[in-house]
Amino acid sequence: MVTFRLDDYPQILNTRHINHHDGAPVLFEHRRELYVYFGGFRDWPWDPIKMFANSSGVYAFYLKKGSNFSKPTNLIENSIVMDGNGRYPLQILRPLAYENGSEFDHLHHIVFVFKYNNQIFALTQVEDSFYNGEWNAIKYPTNTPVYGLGAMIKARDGNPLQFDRLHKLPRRNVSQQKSLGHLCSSGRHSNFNALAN
Amino acid sequence: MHWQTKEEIMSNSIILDGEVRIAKQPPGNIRGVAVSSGVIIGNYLYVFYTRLPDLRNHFYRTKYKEWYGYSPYPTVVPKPDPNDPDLVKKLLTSYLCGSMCVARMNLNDLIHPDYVNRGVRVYKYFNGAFNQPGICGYDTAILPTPGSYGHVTFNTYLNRFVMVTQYDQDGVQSIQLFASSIEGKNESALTSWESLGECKIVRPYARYPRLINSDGESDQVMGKEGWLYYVIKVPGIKGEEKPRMARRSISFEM
Repeated sequence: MVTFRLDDYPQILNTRHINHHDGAPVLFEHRRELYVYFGGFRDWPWDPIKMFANSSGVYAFYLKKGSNFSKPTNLIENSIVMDGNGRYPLQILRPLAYENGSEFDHLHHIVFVFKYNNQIFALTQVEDSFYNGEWNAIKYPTNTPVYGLGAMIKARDGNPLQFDRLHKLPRRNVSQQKSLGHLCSSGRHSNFNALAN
Repeated sequence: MHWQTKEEIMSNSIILDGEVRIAKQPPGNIRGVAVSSGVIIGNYLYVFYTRLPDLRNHFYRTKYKEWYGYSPYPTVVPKPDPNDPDLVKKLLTSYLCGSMCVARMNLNDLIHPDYVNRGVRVYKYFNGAFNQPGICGYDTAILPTPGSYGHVTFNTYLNRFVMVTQYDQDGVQSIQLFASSIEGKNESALTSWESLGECKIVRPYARYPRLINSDGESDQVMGKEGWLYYVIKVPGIKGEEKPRMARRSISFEM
């Protein structure tokens, strides 16, 4: 018979700049580094229309292989991946629908990262921002979007911090289609500019 | 305001969605899934996801006094009483109590030369076989009890897969653990599970559990001891509650 024993008291892990954790860590070993992805909100409480795109999404930190979690808070504080300005944690993924030009936002979480045929792929969860649709069903019962999808993405040039969709989205101009990591790599305001272009 | 429909948001990267309603279904309305983890065996990727309760139809019921659809398969959400004053609260609570399901895709699809036209073919597990399409197909719950956001890892000490899920009922949170009833790293083990019991969480919030091995380097393989990570709410400075990442050590005995 299999049994398990769990520690009585949890260790709480604080992450600087991340005010709301929305997902436990997802691990991926690559070369000599360990990448850790987690869902989160940088701003909290948030305005679902104005702040979602630049606040929610997947953030990451990476550790040299061989590091351990004996002092996890310290590791997270010192290993979180920052944006190009070094001011904010880097959004690895941002809400899918925002990127697609909608005023309605969907979270986009990495749940599994794997390597296949020397390429890096990730399995993601896409969900809308209001309790997976229930809130919309109350407010807008005849015009509700999807609420909960699975999607695949692929790392650009084998870089686990930059992901592209497997295919370009049909509604966007190809010349404007950039990697999600690129769009999110240069700070809060330039994120807005990149999306506005 | 422009609200996205299913067709607008769908791209080729979408591989999995919920079961499509077949009766009086509003445009673009589908039943959702919450993808939570993956396992690779050979050339197959097994995608574990929560089949979300069909809350939307319940809400339609409460608003229009009419059912817009029905689920022919067991759901963990009982038929609600539209006159219940606590209906919304109960439904939002039961949203957390989905059913874990699994789908399978051949990884060779990802590198196929004609991928653009061919796409990724994902099949949901339904009535003993992976035979339902990932988009719009039916599915069968694989756990004996409700559970959501399951994470699956292979435990080398037990020589079995272990799944950890979250469960919420009437505001009481718990983390539940399951072990595959078949030993070894094979497909059959991923669809046959037995309960190991549950762990009550004191704070009224515990979500997204994940098992990580003792040295913190893998969420795919663990041994006798490891870590249970999850999200917990802690009091903030101004009295609000902030979700934080937490972990507790866990060990298995046989």
